[in-house]
Amino acid sequence: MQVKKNLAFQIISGEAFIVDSEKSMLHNLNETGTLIWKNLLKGKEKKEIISNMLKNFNVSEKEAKKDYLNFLKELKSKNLLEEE
Amino acid sequence: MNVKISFANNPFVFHFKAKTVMKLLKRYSFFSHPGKRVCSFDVEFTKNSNLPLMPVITEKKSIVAFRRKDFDCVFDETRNEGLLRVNPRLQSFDSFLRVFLSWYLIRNSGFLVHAASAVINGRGYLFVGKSGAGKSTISKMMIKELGEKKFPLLTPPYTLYPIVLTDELSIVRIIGDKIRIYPSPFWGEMKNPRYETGAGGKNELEDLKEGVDLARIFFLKKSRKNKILSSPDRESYKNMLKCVMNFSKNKYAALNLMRSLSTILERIESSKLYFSKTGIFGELWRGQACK
Repeated sequence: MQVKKNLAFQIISGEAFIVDSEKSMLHNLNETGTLIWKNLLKGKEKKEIISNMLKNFNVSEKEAKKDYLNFLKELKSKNLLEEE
Repeated sequence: MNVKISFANNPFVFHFKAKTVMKLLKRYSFFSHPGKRVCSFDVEFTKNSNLPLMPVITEKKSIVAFRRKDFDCVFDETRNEGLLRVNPRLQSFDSFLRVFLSWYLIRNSGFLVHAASAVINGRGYLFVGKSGAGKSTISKMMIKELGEKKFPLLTPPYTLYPIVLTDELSIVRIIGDKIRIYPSPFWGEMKNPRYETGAGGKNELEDLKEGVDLARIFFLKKSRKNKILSSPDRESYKNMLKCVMNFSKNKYAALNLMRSLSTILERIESSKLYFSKTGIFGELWRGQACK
């Protein structure tokens, strides 16, 4: 899975704002979501993303994995990811 | 018959085949412009059908189509020329203009935003909010509480008298290191604004066409108490994004808009304006916003 191509985004005060122009939808991510999003854009794999989460946030590996999977599920449900 | 009108220093020319455009001339008289055009349109009056109810913009290479139930325009971006087929009603032409201008401004470091705007003391203010937020209410209160003068001065010494630029849809552009707001032909509840009728003070109001520097952005919040609170950057950004008019499905249009918004919010202070039915300008404005 990768981030859908036709999305515009910008980081404001550490939070990502994503505009899905086709659907006229605005999505606002929190800090954790923004970090995962930026890593997905760089094409990073699950293991490296979770490692970056552990470096940046005071969470256990179990929590980081759970957050990562939940976030990906949310991105899929909002149609912000597509098959590579 | 040719109608030349300019918004935010962008002159557009409309070539009408029909002769009955007098209402239109009156509607946009303040915005008439003798100079060179940036875009031109051949206009035909038709009764369109089988078109979408909501405005849709489609872009294929340099050809852009603007379609709604009552208008259909094909615009060639390389030549800056278009053919507009529109219902022979003022509202339909006005709606096309709103959709086209929203698209055009986003490509040119600007946008149309759901906001009232005004000039007070020679400085520009935006009052941002969607339908029902109180744009017309705040505009009327401004005139009621700060007074109204027939011939407002735009050159020093400024007066406190406000000039409302619009109570509905404001035009904002980034021009070099300035953020400017401009008179808008798109109004809400406040009917018959001075610069539409052209009654009194027209020469002084001409200066407005060059735009006025934006000094502050307010996000409108109806409240029992009057107060002004600072608005965090990300909240301001989100609120602005939600209130800007953008019908384009183009990713790069969204990117342009997002860049313009972050530039503006880096340079211009934004606040939340909680206002009750009376006294916001008397109680708070003189002390805080109009120094």
